[in-house]
Amino acid sequence: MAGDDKARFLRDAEKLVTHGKVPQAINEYLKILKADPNDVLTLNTVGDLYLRLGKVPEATKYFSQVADTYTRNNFLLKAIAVYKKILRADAGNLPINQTLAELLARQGLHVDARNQYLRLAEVYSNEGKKRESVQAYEKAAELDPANSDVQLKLAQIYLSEGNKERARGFFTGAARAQAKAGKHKDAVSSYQQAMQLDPLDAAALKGFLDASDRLGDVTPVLEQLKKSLKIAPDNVALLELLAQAYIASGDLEGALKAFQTVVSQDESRFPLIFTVSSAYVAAGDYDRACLCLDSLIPLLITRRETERAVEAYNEVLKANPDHLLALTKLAEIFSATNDRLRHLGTLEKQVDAYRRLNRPAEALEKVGAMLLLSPENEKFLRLHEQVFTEAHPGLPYVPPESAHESQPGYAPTEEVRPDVSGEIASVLEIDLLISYGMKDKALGLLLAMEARDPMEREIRIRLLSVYRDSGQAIKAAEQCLALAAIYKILHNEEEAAKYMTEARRFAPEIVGPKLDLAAFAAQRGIPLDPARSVAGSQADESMELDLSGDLSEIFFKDSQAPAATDESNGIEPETSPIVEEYSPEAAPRPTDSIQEQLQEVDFYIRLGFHDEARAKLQELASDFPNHPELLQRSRQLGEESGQEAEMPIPMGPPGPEDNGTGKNKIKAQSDLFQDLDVDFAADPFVVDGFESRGTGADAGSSEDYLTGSRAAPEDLRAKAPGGAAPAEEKVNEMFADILQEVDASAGEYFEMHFNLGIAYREMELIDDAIKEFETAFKSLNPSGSAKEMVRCCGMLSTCFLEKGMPRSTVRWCQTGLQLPGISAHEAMALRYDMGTAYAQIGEPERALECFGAIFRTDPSYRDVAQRIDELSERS
Amino acid sequence: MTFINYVAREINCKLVYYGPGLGGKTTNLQHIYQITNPENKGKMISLATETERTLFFDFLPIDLGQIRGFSMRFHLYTVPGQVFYDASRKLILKGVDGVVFVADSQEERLDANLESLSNLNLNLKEQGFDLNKIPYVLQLNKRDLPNALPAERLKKLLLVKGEPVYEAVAPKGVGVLETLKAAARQVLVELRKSA
Repeated sequence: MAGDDKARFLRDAEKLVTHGKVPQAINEYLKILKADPNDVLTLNTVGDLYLRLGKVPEATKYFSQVADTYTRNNFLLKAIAVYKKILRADAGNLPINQTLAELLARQGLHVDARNQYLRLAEVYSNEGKKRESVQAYEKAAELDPANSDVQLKLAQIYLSEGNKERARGFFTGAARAQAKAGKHKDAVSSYQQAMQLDPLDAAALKGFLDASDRLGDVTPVLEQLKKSLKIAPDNVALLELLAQAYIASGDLEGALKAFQTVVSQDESRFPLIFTVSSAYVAAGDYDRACLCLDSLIPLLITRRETERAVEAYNEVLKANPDHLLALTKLAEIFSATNDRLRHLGTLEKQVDAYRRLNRPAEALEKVGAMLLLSPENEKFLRLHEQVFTEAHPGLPYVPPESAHESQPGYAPTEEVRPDVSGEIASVLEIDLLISYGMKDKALGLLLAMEARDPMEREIRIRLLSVYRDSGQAIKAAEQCLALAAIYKILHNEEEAAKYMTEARRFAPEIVGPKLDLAAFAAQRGIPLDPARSVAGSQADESMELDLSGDLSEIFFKDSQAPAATDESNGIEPETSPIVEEYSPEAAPRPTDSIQEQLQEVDFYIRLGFHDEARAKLQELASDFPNHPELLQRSRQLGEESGQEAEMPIPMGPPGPEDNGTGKNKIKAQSDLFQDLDVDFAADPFVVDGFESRGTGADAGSSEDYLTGSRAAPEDLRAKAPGGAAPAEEKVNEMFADILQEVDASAGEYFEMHFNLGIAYREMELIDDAIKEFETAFKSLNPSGSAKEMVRCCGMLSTCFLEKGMPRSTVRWCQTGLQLPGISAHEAMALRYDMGTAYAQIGEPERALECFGAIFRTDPSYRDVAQRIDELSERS
Repeated sequence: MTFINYVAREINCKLVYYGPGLGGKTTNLQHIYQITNPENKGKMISLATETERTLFFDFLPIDLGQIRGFSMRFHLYTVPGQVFYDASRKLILKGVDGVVFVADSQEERLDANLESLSNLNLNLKEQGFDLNKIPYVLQLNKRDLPNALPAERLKKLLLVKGEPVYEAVAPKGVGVLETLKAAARQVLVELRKSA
């Protein structure tokens, strides 16, 4: 259409409209639309004209085209306006309502969208379309979660349909919205409805608790939580909520108990306990604020989170700077963590607090503890004298050290004798040892600490714990009595009585009315009776006579005879070999010369194993008395080990047949060293290749080799390929004369896989090992790596034997035996495996062939003769 | 358990370096590897997927010399120290002839040392070994760090049976060879005793 035509049609149409000829005007406009169907202005005009005529469906059709075009071109607001125009004419038009709601939501006009969806829901509802109505309500709820009414409506709808899960979700949503709006009462009501549908919904319970707390009455939620926990007693989330409900209700003990249960199930939740501590502080109950952390401390120590406890105790001290229990707990923590500086500072605060409270005895104890940490501190020494005078007016001053030494009757009675020298250990370390099950070690250290500081309660508490856990009732009772005595000194009668009761429980037959606690305590270095303790050396010598017979017998009977600990390293060279009968039928083995046996001595000397070298020399000396080589080695050993005369060799006359070979004495060897082809007349550890190296004064000691303080012999240096760098020389020298086994030409790839195979085999991962050995084997070039190939065959045959696959063993042995240049010992080893495999397969003849071939080469090879005998008998 | 390889004419002994993660076990082996004559060592295998931590194990074979034509070959292993690799540690301990426990001297690693030692004891028992009987050496590594605990204190906590103890600074090689030597010595003595 030409532009002139469009202008003409428009003019005509407008003229017709002016004259009220609307249908004719519409026809003119339609001519324009025919040529340009997307002309939104014309479409809109046509829609308007149809509206004027009261033809709503036609108007809607054209308006919809306009809105659709706007939507397509992203003019959403214009589209929305058009749709609203349609709805003004046709409010019940469902598709338009739906489209408008979606467009409003898309445009981010949530309030309008929510209202539109609500309208839509009503329209659907009026038309009996329940499902669509619910969907519209859900859309409205989604757009405006704060609208509790919509959520409640949905909850009711779903509840009526029997869909409890959806209903619970909307009740909870409604409750959340109500709580947010400050309607806590309504929220509680909604939560209660939700809980009826799912009593284990922790999120809902949490909201329920918060809303109830806001209302100032958590009783309903506590009741609900108790009901829920009856269904799921181990539900950690519910337990945690229960504890929080208890805190809200002011029942802090209940809260602590619940939190402790939570932490016992999941220790990472330990910070919860601090909530209770803080609540106690807020309630002004500082003692409980400290004590409620007690069960947590070992865990904090293990997790190295003791600073959390320090913060909690400081919270108490912030409220009450003189709170003795908080100070004590802090001191214990600092002691356990070896925080000397803060430990001293806390002890000082304890001293001040005790003095202010007119409790000089405890103050003196703390000054003593300060002096243990800092014995030379003059300020503390002066303080000790000052506090001593306050604690014991009228008595002559006893400085801390002499007071400690003069404690009467100190005599530890444990079987394990403590080491009281040097720094022992901290309580933290003890706790760690106990927590890792090293109770014996912990006990040893605790006893040492007990001996050093008999008054230290923490040590005795741990000793009590160790004895109790190990079922040593008497010793546990003993610690209880000691603790009771200490608490009596501290005027804490309640704790003292508690420990007396516990002692009686452990050993009722001995902790009777006759017990003289003061005497018992004095024996333990605890000055319960000042007349006995403070005077120190004036202690009553008849003290032990005061003890009841039973107690004395039971508690102190072991004190005179502490059992010796086993200090043996358990490693002593065998000095008396077993004599085994030598079979005359066996083929004669080559005679070992003394030179061969001396190689073992050299081996030990070189590695610095002087004891072993000395033992071997002594052994040889009985076979080869006065042998000059022995004397030379002995001198060398003396020089190496720094001893003046190293000559423990008995110089008796040689035996009638002993011509320097030691043949007259046949020593038993294990299979191992028979297998090693060791002469029965010799010690198995005889090292080849050491003769060429200088011995005696010219030879460097093994320590020299290690430290590099002496130059390596020239010949050894020459052995190091390519000239070793100085750092490498240490070990080059140390193992300089070790003969080379690994073919240097083996590629890295082969070596890595071969070694991996070795490692896997040693981990008993046989399949993995086989894979690695096969990979190593395949990586080799058959023309130049026969030795490596034989090694692979050997390991593969071993692995398949271990795996119980003898046929594969045979195949790998055959492969190895066909390789060029195979040595006699390699062939024998492979034939031995092959014989074993054939025996397992059930082919004794072939097995005999293999063992026979070995026997013809070396009749003494391993147990080949025995194998032949067994197979012959069987066949 | 010592293995005799008749084809290669070797006696293979297995020495395992045990200890907490990042305590210096691999560094021990690396130092031994670096200073050992190339002819007396095999290739060191480190199955590690990260550069910093050992995720599986290190393996280093070294040759100490010959006895009657058999090479004394020590296979040195490290275990992964991280707590969650317990299965690997158990595998590596199979057939062990001796153990070196590489303790980290740092105060904050005391807990890890004790845990690892306890784990060693447990794992050895599972493999049928007794820590009190097996050749065993304690190395106190990282002695040069300012937060190292006093050696005497560590000994009191970590000594198992009066075993030899060596102070070490593994990256500098201090105490590394001495530790190896002491462990090898015990293994050889046990081997001799079993003869």
